[in-house]
Amino acid sequence: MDSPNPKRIAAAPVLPDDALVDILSRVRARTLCRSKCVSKSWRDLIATRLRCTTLPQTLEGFFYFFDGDAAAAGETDSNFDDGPVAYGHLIDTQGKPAPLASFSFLGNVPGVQEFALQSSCNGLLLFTHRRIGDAYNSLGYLVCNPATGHWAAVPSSGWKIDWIYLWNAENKDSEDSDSGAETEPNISFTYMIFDPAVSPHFQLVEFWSDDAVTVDEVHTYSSETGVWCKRTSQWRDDEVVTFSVGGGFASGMLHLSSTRYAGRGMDHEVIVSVDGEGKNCRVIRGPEKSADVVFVGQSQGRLHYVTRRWDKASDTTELSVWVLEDYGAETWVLKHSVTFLHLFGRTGHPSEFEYSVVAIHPDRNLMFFFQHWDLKLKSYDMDSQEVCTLRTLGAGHQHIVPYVPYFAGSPGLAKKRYYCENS
Amino acid sequence: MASAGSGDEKAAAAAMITLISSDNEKFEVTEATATLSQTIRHMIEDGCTDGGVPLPNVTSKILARVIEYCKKHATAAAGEEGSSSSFSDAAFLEVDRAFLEELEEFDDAFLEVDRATLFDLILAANYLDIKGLLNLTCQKVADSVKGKTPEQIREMYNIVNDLTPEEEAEIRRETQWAFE
Repeated sequence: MDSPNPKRIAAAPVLPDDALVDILSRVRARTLCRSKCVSKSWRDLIATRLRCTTLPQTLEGFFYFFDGDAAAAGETDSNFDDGPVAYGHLIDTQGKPAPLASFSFLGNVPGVQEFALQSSCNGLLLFTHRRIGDAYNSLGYLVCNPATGHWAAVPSSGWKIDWIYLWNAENKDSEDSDSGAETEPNISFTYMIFDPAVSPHFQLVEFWSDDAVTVDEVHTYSSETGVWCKRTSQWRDDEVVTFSVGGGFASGMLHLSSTRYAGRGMDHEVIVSVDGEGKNCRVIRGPEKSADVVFVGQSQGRLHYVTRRWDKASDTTELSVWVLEDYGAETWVLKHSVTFLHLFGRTGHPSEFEYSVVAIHPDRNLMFFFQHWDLKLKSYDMDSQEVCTLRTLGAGHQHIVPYVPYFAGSPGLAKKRYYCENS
Repeated sequence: MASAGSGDEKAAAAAMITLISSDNEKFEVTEATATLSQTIRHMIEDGCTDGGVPLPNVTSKILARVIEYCKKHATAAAGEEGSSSSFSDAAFLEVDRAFLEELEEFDDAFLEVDRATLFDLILAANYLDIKGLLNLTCQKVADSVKGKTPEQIREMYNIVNDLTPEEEAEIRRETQWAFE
């Protein structure tokens, strides 16, 4: 019924594998997984070339999200047009549109109001969810597997913006300007833990902060119990956490970068590992006493720690990639260094707000970063030292989330209040 | 339409390239048309197009269709560059929109071919590295596969199911969600 040309032809035309891969890379995961039943060669092609198996996957690409979306950004690619609501785009690691997975169906679900892509973990995406017009995630969260179309709503933890505090802060004069942190609004940072090898359920860890750098309260949610729990915070008052560099999910734990003051102008950089119950399990000393931490993540089974350093003598700024070779012994190895000039192609020192490290490839020595000034998503190959532009993204607020597909239905998502939507 | 005002420049730039199909038929095309193919563009850049460009993988029937596509889309590209000076912004946008619609209609009509021709076009677009044509044809096949059951796909593409019932059951068990 779809074909305008019902003519049948006698000989069966055969496409070479490459062309078939090109074609099948344009269909959704649902069709792809089902199509493994067509024949042996299709099954093998889909499993090997399109890596569509229930085995652990590697980085497929990036979801990105911006407020303006398709029309405003002048995006006309039909692959992106996935129904009435298209909130996010998936591109592969070369920057090409990848229609494999999509979460746009969430926009058509009754009861779902405004949502924004927050982060990802092993195939699941975390969104904040708010009532239209609200300034914070008043409805909690949505968790979705964009490959299977399974999703779950997570109620609000109870966190909300402290309007009175805000008002007071705004009306206070700069008399106590030395404690500038007090004028910061309260804020929460949320990380998702999902490791299908360990549990089919996901967990959320929410850190409440009054100043965006210290932890006041820790709240956790488990899809198994469906409830939020307040945990006893083990964070020190003088401990400054750099939430913006990511949660570094590795070995079932979050790894947060933090600065601990060790008295009289001395501080040292540490990584605090936090489990799904919000418990601080371990403090790992950073490779350098003092550093500007840019990113914490996992690659090739090891924790990676990216810092920025300015070399006074040569007036150059470098990114250093450290690897925690031995987790138990806390042995750090400097894996790679690259100058800003090489990475960004311009002199001067971009401030931390002008670029962000988006991800390190889980299986390769490849780093992905985003240049805010020209909206370019780029990759840097630590082996060949090659810098490539994946894509220039549309204008507007960007949130770029690495995506590793997970092609299995998880009981943690499908049961209870979870609901399956056709792709 | 949009190209009417830029005829002079076009004539000046209209270096001709000869393409030779696998069955030795010769096609004369403008450089603008030919360079939609990255493969041919590189040949031109390397200066090895004198005496014609042999395309041993493409039959005259398919090459004629490919050239038809490239001519239309080369005109579109030229229209975009040439017309902005001769129209006001509003008029330009109007022409642009009309032209894009016309191009879309052309593409739709272009895809009204039997499956063997469609597959041959994919192979030619792949070999000649014509991104737009490859996109168009692959998307056409992908659209025909979307949402189809394995049985429907087998029937559409005359594929014999050589999976044992056990193997098929295993696939279904593995990704049960896809069959729900």
